[in-house]
Amino acid sequence: MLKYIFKRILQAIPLLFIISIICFTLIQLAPYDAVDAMTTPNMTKETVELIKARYGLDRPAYLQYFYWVKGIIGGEWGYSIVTHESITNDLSARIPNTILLVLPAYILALFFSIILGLLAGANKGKLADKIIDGLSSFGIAIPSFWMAMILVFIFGHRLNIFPILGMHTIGNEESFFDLLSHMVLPCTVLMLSFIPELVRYVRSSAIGQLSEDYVMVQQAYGANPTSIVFKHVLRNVLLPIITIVGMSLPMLVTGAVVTETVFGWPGIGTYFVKAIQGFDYPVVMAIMLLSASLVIIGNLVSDILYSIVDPRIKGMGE
Amino acid sequence: MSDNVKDKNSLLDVKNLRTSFYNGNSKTEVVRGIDFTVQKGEILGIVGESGSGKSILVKSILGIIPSNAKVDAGEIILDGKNFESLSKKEKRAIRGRDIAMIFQDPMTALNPLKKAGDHLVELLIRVRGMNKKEAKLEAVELLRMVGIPSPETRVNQYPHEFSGGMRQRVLIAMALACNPKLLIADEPTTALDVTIQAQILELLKKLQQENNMSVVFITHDLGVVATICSRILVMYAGMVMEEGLAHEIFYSPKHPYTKALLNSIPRVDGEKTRLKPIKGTAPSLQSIKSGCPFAERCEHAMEKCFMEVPEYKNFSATQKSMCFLAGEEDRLDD
Ligand SMILES: Nc1ncnc2c1ncn2[C@@H]1O[C@H](COP(=O)(O)OP(=O)(O)O)[C@@H](O)[C@H]1O
Ligand code: SF4
Ligand SMILES: [Mg+2]
Repeated sequence: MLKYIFKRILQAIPLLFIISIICFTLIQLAPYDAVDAMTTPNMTKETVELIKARYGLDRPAYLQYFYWVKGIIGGEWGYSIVTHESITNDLSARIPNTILLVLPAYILALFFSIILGLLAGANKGKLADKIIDGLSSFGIAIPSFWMAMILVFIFGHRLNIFPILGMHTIGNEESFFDLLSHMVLPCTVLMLSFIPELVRYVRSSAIGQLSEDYVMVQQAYGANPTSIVFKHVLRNVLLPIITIVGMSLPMLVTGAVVTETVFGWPGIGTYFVKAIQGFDYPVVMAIMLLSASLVIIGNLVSDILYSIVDPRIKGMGE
Repeated sequence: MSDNVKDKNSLLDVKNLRTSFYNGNSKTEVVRGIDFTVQKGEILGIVGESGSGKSILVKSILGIIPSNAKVDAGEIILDGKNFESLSKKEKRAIRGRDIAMIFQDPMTALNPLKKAGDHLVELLIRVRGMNKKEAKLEAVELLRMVGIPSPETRVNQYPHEFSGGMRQRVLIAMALACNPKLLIADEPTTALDVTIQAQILELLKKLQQENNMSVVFITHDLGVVATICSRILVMYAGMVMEEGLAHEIFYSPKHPYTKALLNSIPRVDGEKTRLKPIKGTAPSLQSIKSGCPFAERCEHAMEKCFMEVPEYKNFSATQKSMCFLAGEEDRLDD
């Protein structure tokens, strides 16, 4: 198994390399000079040259690529050309905020989806299934900004029980409860946007498993339907969910763009949108690079988890 | 059979069992009025080409037919209990207590994410009311009983670590765990290679004798039943064509279909080996019209055969055949 994990990591490296090359090329093609982000128009030519030399921007492209990669790995992600702030600092301030929103929403969504999906799958064609499946089709069809508006209208405006903007009430930054109440609406929107597809996945996986021979064998031995679902089908359904979870890793960064924008949440989403609006190439590229790498890392992590959890893979290569 | 050999010795009595698949408004009857009896302590063979409804027949008895199928009629009496009078829960209690079943494909019959031992433990706890510790010990014993080497390590292995033959042994152990009165074996050796087949047959026969179970042994291969069955039911297109003691079926078959089946097994008599496949294909049950179900492929079909369904004709207290002919038209050894 260790061999397998090692092999998977080795396979991921060239992919990361390709992504970095693509990103670097795009940055080079972009209609701005990286040095612009670090200079001001009133600096002398000599100062600009010095800065260029300091960051290796006067060297040939392959060396620049090398410096760039070295910078990325060392946490040096460049500067915004709009605000001239360090992207590293901005990202590290904002990523935790996004995670704070996405992670609880995703975990809750996963939990509810597994329950609903199993319920629907085990009662295929019956009323419970029709309701759950119908609602998930509906859920997939509605855009999340619309759902956000509705929730804002009902809970923020009409009932006025939850705040609808930002992370904290001004002057109340330390209160955990205040933060929690700010999280409720955006988290709910996110959760509702994650659930439908997850439910569908769990449902169809449960239906598939329930038609397997081993289920019929359990029936033949008098196991009742509930215990078949929980003792046999459940783990077979949960296992492939690891893949889905792994592939969702990039969502920790880019999973809440719309929701954050609607709720003015100071996360990566709002940062990203602002960067796009201001043609802030370095920021856009940094976020693209980050989420593309997370795709690969997410796949890698889910493969490794799979190999640990699935006895059929665990035994392989020994 | 029901009238001929009806006695207190019967364990399972099935009368006029009918099962159909429903697809929208269309209905395809695949078990078409079957009567049979299983005696206490006997091995009954059910033989027929694949698609003749053998699996659906026994699954109908157990109540595990697919959701698009339905048992339309029939009476099932097990050891004096009429299934009609049982609740859903009581019927479920029969499965795995009174009746256990082994299936055709051992590769898919076990949950891939559950250890072999856990399949047994779960069953022993539910059916035999053991606690976990007792069940674990018993699981090892059962694996030993079905001839799995080093059962202490094997209990903790997953299904993919077993070969096909070994998996079928695990499934037989599951059946034994229930200590059933009736064991239904649905083509238990079809998916296995020949030497393993022989071992599994040997094992089943041994276990049947030791535990005094009744066994219904299903196969599409008459050659397989020859070695273990005392009585044989020949099925075609959801109906019983002929029924008789093993030697009656093998040495004086009456029904043209039985004869055709016998001719299609490779036989080694003296130097002569012959194999004669049955002409035509097993009928699609949707296309069956009136008359004898075998008429389309029967060498002796007469006009009458296409018009009327033949009645059963008794040839001995134990043998009967559903054919207009008396069964003497062509001897097997002609
Ligand atoms: N799930 C199913 N849906 C529709 N028809 C089926 C299904 N399973 C079996 N059948 C039909 O029922 C008939 C009997 O099948 P089966 O009992 O499995 O035959 P056997 O076990 O003798 O090979 C076949 O004609 C087959 O086409
Ligand atoms: S009834 Fe007619 S068609 Fe049917 S088996 Fe007998 S001879 Fe053949
Ligand atoms: Mg079958």
